[in-house]
Amino acid sequence: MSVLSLSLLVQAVVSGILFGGVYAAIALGLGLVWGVMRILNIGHAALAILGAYLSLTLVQRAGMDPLLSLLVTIPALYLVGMGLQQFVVHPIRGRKEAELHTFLILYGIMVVVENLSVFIWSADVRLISAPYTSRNLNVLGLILPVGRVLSFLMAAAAVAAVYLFLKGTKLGRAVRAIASDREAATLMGISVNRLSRVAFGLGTATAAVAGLALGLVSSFFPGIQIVWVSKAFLVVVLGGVDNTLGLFLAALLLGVAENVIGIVGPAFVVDFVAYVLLIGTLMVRPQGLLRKAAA
Amino acid sequence: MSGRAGRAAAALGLGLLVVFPFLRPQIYFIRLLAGLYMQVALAESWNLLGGYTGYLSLGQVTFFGIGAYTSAVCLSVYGISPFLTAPLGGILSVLLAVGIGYPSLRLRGPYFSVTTLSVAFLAQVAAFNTTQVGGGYGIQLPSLPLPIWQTEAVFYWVFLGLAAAVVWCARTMERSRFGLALLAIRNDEEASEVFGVDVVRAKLKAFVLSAFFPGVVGGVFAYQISYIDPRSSFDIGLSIDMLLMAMFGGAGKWAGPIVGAGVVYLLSQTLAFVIPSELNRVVFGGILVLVVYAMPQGIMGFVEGLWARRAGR
Repeated sequence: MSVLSLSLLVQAVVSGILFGGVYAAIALGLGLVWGVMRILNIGHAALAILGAYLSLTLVQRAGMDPLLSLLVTIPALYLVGMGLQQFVVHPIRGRKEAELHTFLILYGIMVVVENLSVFIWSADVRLISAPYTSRNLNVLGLILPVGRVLSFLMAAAAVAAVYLFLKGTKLGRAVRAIASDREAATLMGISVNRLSRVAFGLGTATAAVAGLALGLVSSFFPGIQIVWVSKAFLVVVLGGVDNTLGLFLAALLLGVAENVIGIVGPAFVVDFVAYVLLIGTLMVRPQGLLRKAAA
Repeated sequence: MSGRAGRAAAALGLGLLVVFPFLRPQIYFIRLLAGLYMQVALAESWNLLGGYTGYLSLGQVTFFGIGAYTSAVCLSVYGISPFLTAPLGGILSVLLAVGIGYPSLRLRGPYFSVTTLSVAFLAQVAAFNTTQVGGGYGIQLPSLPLPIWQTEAVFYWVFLGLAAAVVWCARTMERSRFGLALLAIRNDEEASEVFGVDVVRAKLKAFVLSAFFPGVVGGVFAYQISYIDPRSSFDIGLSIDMLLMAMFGGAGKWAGPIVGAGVVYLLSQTLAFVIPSELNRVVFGGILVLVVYAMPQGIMGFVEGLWARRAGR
């Protein structure tokens, strides 16, 4: 392999890792809610895109720095998540087909959020930027756009925060307790309802970070959420539910795979990478590729 | 309703619908009803899997699009009438359904749902990028070589026939051993497996049936509108409509999608005059949430509940 193509490959791998951060950020909340509540929130990416639009509006209308917009969007989406738990999931919890109904309702909410976003912000393609995001960093001969680096750091910080919360805090341990056994957790004096709201709220709050991370590196419009939710789903399947670090690795793997394939094949083939991986994983190891590998 | 009286009523109703175009109504109404029959056929085919087993396909539009493209290619390249090639679209849909269903139906519901959603998106990407079928420009088709009134009437009858066929299929299935197996899967998959239901096979069979009909319907639809492109043929919104109509009317009941399609389709046609289309979708997403929340058995289930309460008094 010539020096030129080797450096091209290294560049592609590094860009892939940086882009994989977005996948990790979106999959993070999807996996958290799925792992703790056993609920697949199919509207998760629609909420992340909503977060991206909120950030965009704050940046464009209020002249806020993109990072500062998180101070508004994180609490806002935390409340949305709590509301979903309180008013959507909780009331139908006792039903015989609760799982099916919850999924359907969240699907309905996905439709509402997506189309309301079209109505408010139109279906035009957007990107979030600040004066510094289009600058390039030159690290060891690699060209790294600031926006991408920032996006990756945000995603990594969110993953680390959720990981530390679950492993290191009393509240986080209680959340994990309801994930493994609801009844036992109740007997131990844990308020399952309150913690469910915390878990759903936190999972949805990460969508705010995901939305900004996404908006900094990739153009978006409301309908694109379907792509993101299915890729996030793939990442959770690959990494294993309730395995935060496995999920992070899986996300980076997907980013690298897409980027490397993107430079050898035609651009649209990239979209298929995730789905081929998804179908393949479902056939071979439905419990997740990395489930046993990482903590 | 007892068997014979019910059958007589159904035959009479169907007969009235068949002669409707001869009453020389405005073309708008022929087209409106033809559209309704198409929605009934689509919603009922979603019901065959989703309603009876609880495995929600969010990608039924994939099969519709495959059917549309199959007949468009056969007509524009080989000059064969879509009325002949529509079943081919159904068969290709079945092949794809086996390919998707085999890996994803072995797993619990949400895996299947997300996989089908992803496949629908991929199919659209593929259509956009395949220049042989016109890429983003789509395919322009010759229309039926008949006067407009007769053309509309022909499509009216074809869609009526298709809707009747799918409904008949669902009704027959509901009363068969196979239908009972599907309901058992919906109730308790593990238990039904213990009791000897080959669950993977049963689910796959239901998915194959529910993929075949949209493939055929899509083939006829392409001919009716005589222009197809990736955006309209693989419109995710169509998948949402099918699920919503079936749920609204009553999923898992053969008559449910008829009622649901009637209400939802006519409502959406009316709303289309009043509010912008994206708000239209917001309304229907909201309706889906409310239906599942307040009336999970749909209109049919609600009415049956009232009936049972009256009988019990």
